[in-house]
Amino acid sequence: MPSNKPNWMDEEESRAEEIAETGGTSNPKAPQLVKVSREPARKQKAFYIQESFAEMFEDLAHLEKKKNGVKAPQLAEEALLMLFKKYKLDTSKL
Amino acid sequence: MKIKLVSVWNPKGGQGKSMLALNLAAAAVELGLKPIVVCQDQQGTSMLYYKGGNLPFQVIDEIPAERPNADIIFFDHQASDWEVPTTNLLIMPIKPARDQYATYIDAFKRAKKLNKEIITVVTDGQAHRADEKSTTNALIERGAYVIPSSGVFSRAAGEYRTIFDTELNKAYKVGERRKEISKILGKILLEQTIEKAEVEQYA
Repeated sequence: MPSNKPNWMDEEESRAEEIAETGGTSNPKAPQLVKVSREPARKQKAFYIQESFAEMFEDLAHLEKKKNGVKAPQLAEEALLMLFKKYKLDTSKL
Repeated sequence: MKIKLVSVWNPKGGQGKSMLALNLAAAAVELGLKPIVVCQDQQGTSMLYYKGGNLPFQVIDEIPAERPNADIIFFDHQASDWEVPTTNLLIMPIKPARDQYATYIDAFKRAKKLNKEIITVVTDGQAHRADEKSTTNALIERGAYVIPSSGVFSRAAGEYRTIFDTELNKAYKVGERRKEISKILGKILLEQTIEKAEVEQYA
């Protein structure tokens, strides 16, 4: 069955193909939606831990930073969460 | 069991992203699945529906930090969002008019460059308009699904319900509209490809 697609369809597609090649949009100078990633409010908490533990934590934070990964506060929270779960605390309100 | 992650996305506004996300979730409930809709739109359309109190599933306003108790998650993206979603499977609603198609095809090609699986859904088409009909038919030939313009969607929107709500059981052609939505859900559930990031996110 012959397709009776609108005559403008090919035109729009070749235009879109060109734009896709450049990775832009039809109107690249227009303001763009900026996504805001909200971090929760945090407080400082000092711990006394062994120096070797502190150094390894800093190494880990550095490695993550280099690859734009998880930040130090999030790493600390991840560790605490494991601890809370181990000791069977209710973490549902965290 | 892996959670199925689905993004409903099209940078063009008013194409039916929230309508599709909510009704696909309602169709999932009908199948005995547990869906969640994540409303990623400042307009908060999906959240408003949820606050209306008639939805049989949860709508949340941000991506949960921990693995949620759900079988399928629909991300309802906002208009003007040109960032291709990270999920492998995208649902792209489109109204069958040239100016709507122009934005859709720009976004579609952008997503295809990233090897996304895309299910196109033609929404709100008017069969008596020749241009819309031929656009719809051309998209069907490429595998698109169709949900035509129908009064039941207006009625559902007026009461912040999905069309699967039992209150709308007697609405005109509601059975056909439900079948069309369920067919799309069936296609989603059959999609087996899950990208690495999805598996890692809630592993």
